[in-house]
Amino acid sequence: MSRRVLIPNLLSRRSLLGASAASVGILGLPFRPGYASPLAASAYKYIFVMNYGGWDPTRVFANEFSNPSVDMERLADSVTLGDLTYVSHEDRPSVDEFMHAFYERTMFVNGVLVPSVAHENCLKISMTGSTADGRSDWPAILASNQMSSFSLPHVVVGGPSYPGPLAGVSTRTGSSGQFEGLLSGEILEESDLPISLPASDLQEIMAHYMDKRVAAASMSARFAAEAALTESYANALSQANELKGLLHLADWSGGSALSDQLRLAVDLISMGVSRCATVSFTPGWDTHTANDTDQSNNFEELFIELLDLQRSLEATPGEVADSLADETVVVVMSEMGRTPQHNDEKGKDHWPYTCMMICGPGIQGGRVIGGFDGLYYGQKIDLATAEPSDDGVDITAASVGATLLQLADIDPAEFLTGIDPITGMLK
Amino acid sequence: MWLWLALAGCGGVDQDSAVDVPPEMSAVDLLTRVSLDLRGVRPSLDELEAVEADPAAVEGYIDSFLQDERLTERIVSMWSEIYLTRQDEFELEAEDYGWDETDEPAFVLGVGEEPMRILARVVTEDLPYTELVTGDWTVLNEVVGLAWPTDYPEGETGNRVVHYTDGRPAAGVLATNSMWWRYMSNGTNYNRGRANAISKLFLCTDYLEKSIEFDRDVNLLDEGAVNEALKTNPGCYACHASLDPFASFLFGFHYYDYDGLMDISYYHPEREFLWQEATDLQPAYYGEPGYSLSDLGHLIAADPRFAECAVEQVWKSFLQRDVLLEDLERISALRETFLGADLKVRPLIRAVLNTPEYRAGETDNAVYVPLKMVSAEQLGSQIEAVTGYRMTSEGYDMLLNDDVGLRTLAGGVDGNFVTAPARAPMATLVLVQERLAQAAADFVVEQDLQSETPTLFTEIGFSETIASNPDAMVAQIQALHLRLFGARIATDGAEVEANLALWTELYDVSLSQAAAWKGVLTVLLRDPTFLMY
Repeated sequence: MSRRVLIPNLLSRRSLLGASAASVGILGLPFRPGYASPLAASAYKYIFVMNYGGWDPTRVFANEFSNPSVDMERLADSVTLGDLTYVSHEDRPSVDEFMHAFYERTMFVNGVLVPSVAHENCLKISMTGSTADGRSDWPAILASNQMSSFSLPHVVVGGPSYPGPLAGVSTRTGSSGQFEGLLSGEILEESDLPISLPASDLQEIMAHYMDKRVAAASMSARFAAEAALTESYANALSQANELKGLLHLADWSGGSALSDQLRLAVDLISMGVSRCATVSFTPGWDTHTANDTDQSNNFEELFIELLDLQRSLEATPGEVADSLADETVVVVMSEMGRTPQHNDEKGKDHWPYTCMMICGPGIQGGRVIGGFDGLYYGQKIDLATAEPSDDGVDITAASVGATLLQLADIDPAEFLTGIDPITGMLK
Repeated sequence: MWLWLALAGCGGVDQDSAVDVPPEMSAVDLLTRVSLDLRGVRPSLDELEAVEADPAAVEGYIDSFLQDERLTERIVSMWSEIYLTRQDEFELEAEDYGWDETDEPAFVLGVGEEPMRILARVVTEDLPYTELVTGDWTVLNEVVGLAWPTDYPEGETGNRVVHYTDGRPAAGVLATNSMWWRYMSNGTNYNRGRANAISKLFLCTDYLEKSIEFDRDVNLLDEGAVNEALKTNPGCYACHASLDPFASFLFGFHYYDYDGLMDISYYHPEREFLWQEATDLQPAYYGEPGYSLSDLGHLIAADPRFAECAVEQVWKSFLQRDVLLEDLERISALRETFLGADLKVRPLIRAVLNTPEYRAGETDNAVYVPLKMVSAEQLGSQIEAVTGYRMTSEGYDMLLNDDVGLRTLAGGVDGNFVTAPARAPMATLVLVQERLAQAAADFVVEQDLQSETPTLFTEIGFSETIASNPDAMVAQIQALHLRLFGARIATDGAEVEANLALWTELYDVSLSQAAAWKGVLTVLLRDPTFLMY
């Protein structure tokens, strides 16, 4: 399997920023090319991979062979690399390959509480920390932190998106190529009443007029609300114009396959178009029947793509680091786990404790935090060390989310009340 | 609901005297705002001229807009952002009922809009708001009405008031298929999610806003232990004591087969008592027992929170912002208005439109709302009103759909993941506006080229140039500004100068008057002020 690695276009904003930064370095100012020192939080990018349906953590993440409450898989075994122990099985060679290649930058967060067993609720909890409406999801918050720096701060190539009050931050690329059609204008030709676009030279004249008109509108605002709206419009127009310039630099129409989604995500992040991307993988995780076979196949398929993703990130120059892998935090998650024991149909049902895998800079790779107790409930941990502690607290989706915000130097308290980050997860 | 608790301790302060009330917006601006809010279009030239001549006439227009038939679609649109039922797909499709694939757009809209169309009828026919949860009727189009067990008349078309014929209780929106197709309940949830949806949508109380305590001492693998905990464990009981009996009312909509046509199209009276097996908690509404869904509707209708929630929703919808502490006194007064009007919604809307918060002119005080942004639907409807153009694809309205359309890209709500509309411009909205403007300009110019009664280009033929008839060119630009923005611009003003310069530039390149006018109209439809009101 090969992946097209898109080298950032020389004219992209990020490349220009990078070039500027390099120039500063040449002049002897404190910029060091490469990834010699920890990156600033602002340099981190994020890819969220949502595995909707509820995965069975005991196939990869949860080493529960000694737990009598848990039905583990026949012929599976645990493998330890550094401080990271995972479940290996001959049917899942890509998991082994991934772990051997990338365990040092990979962390498992086990026993994450999502206090519900309904898909819709758990999905919302895992992405926002709450079932309440009006909460923004992690990628939207992370992207909003640098909204003016990106044309599509959070691109939703697939899967859930809860922008909440940050409605302008997240953009879906559309299930039938609408976004590409919007950029190119072809959407007009494909509508029920096909209309041809104006000639390109006329469009340029209009675009020039619009730039001047919008600038004038911003200058003449009479009160705060008008100033805010016209300024937002000016920014949006500028971003829209940039996006049109990127039309042919990425495969926007893509497909629903995880490989296609990830390719677009990497392209947009590498070009400086997006800070965050959300993709989804839904091969049939909701295994109320035939759990073992289906989960195993799903994980193998998933890790083929995750392996490819990491290699693609490694091969792509970063904004300031050597490679995008040094700047990109990949969060792999599923909204719920599955019961520790099989049901009568060899399936496993919904379970409110799940696991997450985080791969990338800023976190303590090569480590498993959390775990499960005898009832297959999540273990409590000490937030400062991320070590198990009976006096500690549950690992919740909200606390992991708060940690991701902290990693990006965003104060979690601005978005989550009473939720502390797991600082022990971070470097 | 915190609002009403807080109100209990409030004194009788006159809000208007307690703060500096900003000046009202101009009568023309108010006319435009109310017209867009209640009709989805900008005022006509006649309306503008009448209000310019007599600013007090705006009040009469507001009253007439409240009677306008387009209010129905505005209610459907505004409350679709609250009920969140207008989704792109459901468990069943039109073809499952024997309809053609081309009927799918009407099917999806018919299903998704059912609750809002019930509300719209309550509003526009001045029925008491309680009818929303007690009525024995619904509103469906022919595709859905003939698919489901209703008395929708064969051979008729369009949205009509009909009745379900499968013996379901009279409970307004609570007894609609649409509501429970949107808010499905899985096998072990036992309608709790649905009960919370009712609580959230009609009482403005969301159980899920409360933090969920998870007790490790409860063995989740033991269903009996879990059920016992829900009744006795303080961490569970606080919510489940009221939520679970509430949910017990809904077992007539219990489904065994989530995509089974008979299972989810019909109400099942024989399943009403499944609560005995599920939770063994008799139907009750906050301690008051009931038996049927109809009882639930009447109990909700009698709950003061039901009317209070309606006031909050109207207030938030028309102000495009959340309720603030500063609003307490205002909302209290609005509640009295609503109660005094026998729970008719139109007087409540009128009262909201009368408030200084809604009518505020220039101010930096965030309590007041001197400027709002149009919704995706308002953008589409106002462009359609001035040009006749509506963008559709495969029969779907592009601004009401995300499968093939542009709804969320234009800032709209998909009812599933995107549950709040954009309130400020973003890149994708600007792109949608641009494409709509290009299409609408092309459409109306081509129409007007061939029409003896042109829609927009009333001051010129398409043979004039600035050299041949400068006065007509200027008059046409003035006419466009008046029609699109309600603005009278000076013959020698900056707008005319800029638009003529653009026209000239476009004409010099294209050598086509029509192309030049298309360009001018495109930039006017793309103007930021066309998004704001």
